[in-house]
Amino acid sequence: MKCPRCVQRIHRMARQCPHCGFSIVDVDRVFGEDDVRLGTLTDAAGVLRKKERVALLRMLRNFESTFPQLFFGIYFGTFRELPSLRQFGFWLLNRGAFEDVDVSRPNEAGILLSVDVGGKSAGITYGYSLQSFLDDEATFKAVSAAHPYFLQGQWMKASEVVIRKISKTLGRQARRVRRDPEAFQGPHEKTEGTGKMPERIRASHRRSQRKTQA
Amino acid sequence: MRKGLFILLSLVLPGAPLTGQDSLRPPAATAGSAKGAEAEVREGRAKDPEEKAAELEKVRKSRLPALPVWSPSDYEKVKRGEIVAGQNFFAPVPVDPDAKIEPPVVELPEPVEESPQPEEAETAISAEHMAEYFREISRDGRGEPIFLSDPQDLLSQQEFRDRESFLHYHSSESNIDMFVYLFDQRQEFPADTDIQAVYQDLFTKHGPVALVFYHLGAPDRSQFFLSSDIRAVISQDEQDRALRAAVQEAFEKSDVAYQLDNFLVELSIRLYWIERELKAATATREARRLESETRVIPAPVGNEEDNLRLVGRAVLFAFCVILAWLSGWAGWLWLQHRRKYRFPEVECGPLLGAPHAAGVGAVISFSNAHLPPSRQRDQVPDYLERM
Repeated sequence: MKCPRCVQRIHRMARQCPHCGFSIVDVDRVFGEDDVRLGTLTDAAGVLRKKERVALLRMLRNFESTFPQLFFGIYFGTFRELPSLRQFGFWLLNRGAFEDVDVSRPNEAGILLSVDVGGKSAGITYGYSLQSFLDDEATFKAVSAAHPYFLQGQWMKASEVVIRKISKTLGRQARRVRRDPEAFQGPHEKTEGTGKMPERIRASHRRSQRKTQA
Repeated sequence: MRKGLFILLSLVLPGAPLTGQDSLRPPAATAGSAKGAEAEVREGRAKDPEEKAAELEKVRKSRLPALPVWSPSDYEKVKRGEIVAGQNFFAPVPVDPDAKIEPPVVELPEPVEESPQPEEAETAISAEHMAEYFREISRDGRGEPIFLSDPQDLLSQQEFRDRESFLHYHSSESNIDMFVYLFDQRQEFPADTDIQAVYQDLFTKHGPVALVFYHLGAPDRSQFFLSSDIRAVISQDEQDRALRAAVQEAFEKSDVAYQLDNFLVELSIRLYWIERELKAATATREARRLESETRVIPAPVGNEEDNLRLVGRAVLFAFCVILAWLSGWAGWLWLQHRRKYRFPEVECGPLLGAPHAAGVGAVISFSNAHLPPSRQRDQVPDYLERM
């Protein structure tokens, strides 16, 4: 695992970065500690045409169909004074409440592609459930495959390439898991399962909302 | 050098004196034939001076140089030290200008006699042998033709077998068989014997064949003849070139058997190319014949329907193949679409206080179109950039 701020390796159980002292509190202080409601495809920068949005949404639904436990989110934004796209993605996947995602797919099983259209950068963040199956290198291959389309401003095509690459990687990993499940157990502990996780997540979201309203 | 010669003469000729040494010796001590002359001189002391002078002159003119003579005055001078004994030893050697040295006898080899003209026996081929050569095509026990004909036993058995086996090999590889008749270096054929006549007599029904009359030790006298069907296609120039090349190759060796080896190998190679040329010519001729036939003979009406049916079937088959391939591809796509991937449920403890996600993937910039993505990868800590 890497720290979103100093990009140094940290222990998987670290409550804060031993190098720079980073924790979610730091980004909550910048972006807000409340949950944010948004869709899996959020075009805050307004760069997508309607047809492209529809096509992209269809693509996201296909992804969810292929990976019944996961979801894929895309966020296009223009951040003039954004401190860090990496930290933003980290914050958004933790504080985002994706309205069009089934409750059986918690944010732990989410993958978020954040694109800073103004700052011309793109990054990927993923949840805890995918930590054994995705890594820095796989995500780099996905975004670098889409690099030419990002350069040309073909946002839909770039997103499509990223989704396809990530799907390919995940498919390969799923097959490997099927062949040798123990290899992916690793140091992680088995959880109670994604079936129970959504309740916990939604409960957490509800608590945050109540706190905000109060 | 001169002194050495003098010493050698004095050793060879016992009467020859050594200047100085002999002059010291008393006259009575001289040996050999000089004794006589000395005695005569001694006796001459008692004779008249004229006789003495004549005798001395006689001695001087003799073959050997005159011995020195002591006179009493010399003796006195020696006593007084005016003459040193051996003084003239180092003086220039007197050489008798009239002396002759016999040249050494050298035994020269006798002149080689010129080789006589070849006899008739060497050039003629006996009638018996001629009959053996050209009676018929010789065959071995298995009924296969013997390609090398040598009734005069010009080659040893081993040499014969080697060349014969090569010709058999050539025959198995080539359509043009090669029959070789061996003759001696100087042998001449009778007037009525001709390679073309031999071909007419023996090989007209044999098929493509190459006849060779080879003179052992004289490859340049070889004759080469191809059967009529080959000559119809291959020009005479090309045949001559093949023979010349074989002869040239034969002369690379000195041994007659190896010359024959080289000759046969080169000729076999040339026959291979001739054979290829023959095939090409035959194919061309066949193509022309077919072309003319198709031009002349009109296609029957019934065939057109058959052709159409055939084309229809081919098109149908191709369509079926394409349809099957497309169906397979579509099915594979559908299966891929329907395929579900599931992951084991694992969970990490909350990292950095984040409730759901801490998986930070790659971030790249796309601000520069000239740099590759790897050079625009953002791996710099934020506090060194914007934060």
